[in-house]
Amino acid sequence: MSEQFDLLFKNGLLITGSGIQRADLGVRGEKITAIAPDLPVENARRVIDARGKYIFPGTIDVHVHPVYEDNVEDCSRIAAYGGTTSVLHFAYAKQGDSLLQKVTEMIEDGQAHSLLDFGVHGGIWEAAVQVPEIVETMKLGVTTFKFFMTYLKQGWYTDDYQLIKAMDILAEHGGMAMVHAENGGGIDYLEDKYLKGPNAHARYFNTSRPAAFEEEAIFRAARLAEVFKTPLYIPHVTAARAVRAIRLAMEDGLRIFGETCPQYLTLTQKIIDERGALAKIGPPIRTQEDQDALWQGLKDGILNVVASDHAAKKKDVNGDFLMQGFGSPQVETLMPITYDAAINTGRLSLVRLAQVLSENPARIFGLYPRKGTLQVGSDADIVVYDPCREYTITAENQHSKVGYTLYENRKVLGWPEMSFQRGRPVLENGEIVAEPGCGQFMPTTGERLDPVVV
Amino acid sequence: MVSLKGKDILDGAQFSREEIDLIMEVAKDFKKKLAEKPGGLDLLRGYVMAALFFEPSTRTRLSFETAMHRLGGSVIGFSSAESTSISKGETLEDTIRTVDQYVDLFAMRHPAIGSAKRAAEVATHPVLNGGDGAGQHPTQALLDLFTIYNECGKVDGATIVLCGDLKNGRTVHSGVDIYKHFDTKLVFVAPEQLAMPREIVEKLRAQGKTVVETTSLEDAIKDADILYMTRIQKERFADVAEYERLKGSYILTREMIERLNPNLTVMHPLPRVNEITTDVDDLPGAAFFRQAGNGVYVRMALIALVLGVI
Repeated sequence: MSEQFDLLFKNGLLITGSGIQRADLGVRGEKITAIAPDLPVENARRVIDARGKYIFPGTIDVHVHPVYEDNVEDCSRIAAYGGTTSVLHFAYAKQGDSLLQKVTEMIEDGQAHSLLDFGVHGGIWEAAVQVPEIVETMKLGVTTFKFFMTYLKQGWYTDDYQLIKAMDILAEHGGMAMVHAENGGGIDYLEDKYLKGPNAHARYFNTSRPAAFEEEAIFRAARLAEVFKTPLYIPHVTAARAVRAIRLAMEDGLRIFGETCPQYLTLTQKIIDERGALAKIGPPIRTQEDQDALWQGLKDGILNVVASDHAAKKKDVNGDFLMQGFGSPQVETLMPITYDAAINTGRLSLVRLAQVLSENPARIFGLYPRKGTLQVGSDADIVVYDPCREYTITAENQHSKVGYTLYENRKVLGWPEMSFQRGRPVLENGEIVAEPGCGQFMPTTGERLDPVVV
Repeated sequence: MVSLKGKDILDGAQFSREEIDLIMEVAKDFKKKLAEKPGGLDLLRGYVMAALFFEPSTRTRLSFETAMHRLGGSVIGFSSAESTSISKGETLEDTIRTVDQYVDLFAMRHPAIGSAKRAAEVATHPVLNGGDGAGQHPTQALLDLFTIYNECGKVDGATIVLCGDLKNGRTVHSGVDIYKHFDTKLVFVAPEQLAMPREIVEKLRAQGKTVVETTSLEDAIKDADILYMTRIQKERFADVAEYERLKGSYILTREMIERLNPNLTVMHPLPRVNEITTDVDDLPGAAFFRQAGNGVYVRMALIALVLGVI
């Protein structure tokens, strides 16, 4: 008797980080149970004809901030509209907060409300009291902790003493350090000089956050991490010089992982003239030359992840630029914007795209091969992508509560048609059919594997 | 006395002029010996080399393996990561530590920058880097140099033209690390968007090297001794029309050589696509297949030197 499938994807093209295959894909329960040409339809409960479609492993967005206008539930729903099936959230412990408590709360929030499988990174603002909580927090299944080398005057800053102390602890317990890499003292001075007073203007934003400061901070973090051989993750890499710093650390044999985001891959600093504070992001969106270097970095395997850095904040575009928050809504557009910019221009191959959106995030954060690939035995996290569908992104058709997008009126070719998580439908016909609370918490305690490059 | 015994070969910048001269001398000696005694040498009987090719490669892998066999040693290894425990999630470090128990040295290629360095840190035996992604490819640079010696009889005083994608080309960057030790004139020919990175040009000039940059291949080859051609990849251009407009300017033909410089030596790391027309192949200066052959002698030299048997 032939095997029975709950779900059978027929005639699609399977695209993973290890190659492209024309095959059918069968799912039973929560797992992929068969990948082969011509799987029989007779015993399948549901057959999906994916002719002319790409079948990707679900996108894993490892850089989401569910602490502003969009909460944990919102972020999971908004992400799902764009073909993402797993998210990793930052749980920030502010001054006076307990790291352990903040992480516990976010895990509980997600278990109760998330539509998607989710994991959590700890975010540390008050290192002196929160770094000692790392070991206890790791027992919850959270192994990655972010530190700010900038935002000194905001009080989010971690100094080198505390940073290397944290790295020491993380190396010993199998964790990973993540740093927002910009030079905090330098930026505070330049902000005071250029963004305060009567002549202050948004156009000085990039002047106040030079690429040199990003490069310097990455270099410094990598050298601190070198001492205890702590794995180091650099989120939101924005500059050619920053890519250079990561490359240098890799050439020296350090375990360093670079991430960039669609806003840096598809926009330039002109967006600040056009949208003002809505495009205020730290580190800033930079020049065309920087953008080109980020694509090259992705191609060369210096950058290995594309994630959203979703930080949905309400902003007053007519208000004092200096007082507006950093960040933009990105979680919904991660896959369609990156796909369009990478594939329709030939900048990346489909296989490389699957690596940077799915396989490498899974490998780096200890989720592989349960997540990040299409293999027999993997979770049935699947996106059916229509490469021929045109879509125009506008604030009206976006789902973040902030009501704007930096991609206003951008036309993209290719759109997620449906998605599944552990075999259950998430996105169908442009609607979200998953229910809050059906997402599971994903501990990031698996083995941390090196990213792959093609 | 300069020696490479026990050393890893990781990048082109690691060598002193003395070390380069030694490698060239030993490679020349091996070439001569093999010409005299075609069956190979018996220098490394019982030695085993691991050829760990985590990504496919034709010339580099086959010439490393040939080099080891010619020296009388044997080879174990793999030519893609799929058939190994890497695909089960084994880390690079653990693979190297394990194979380190079996062999006397490693030749490896891996798609990730810095992987050879990481392997060298855990291996107790020497590691020869056969290319780490967009990073380094030092043995290619050395065999290129050996080819220049063989074709021109000299490197000091030679005018070397590098043409193609100089912005992204790993081979040309590694080459520059080697040529800087010599009194050469370097001419860089590339479309503006694929020009040699500024920092490399500035560094060479700061070292007192003569460096000329141009977009015209024809001008460049008139007074050249060596033309080193590389491929210009279509996907490097944001604008397809720009690629179509430019691609013809960077194709070398027999007619160009005969008209401008019949004595020109032409090199290419291979594989070639269309940047050298096939009617060039039987010109006496067409050195690119001999260049591939030289890979064996240079890799024999490196293997013998790091093992300390000569």
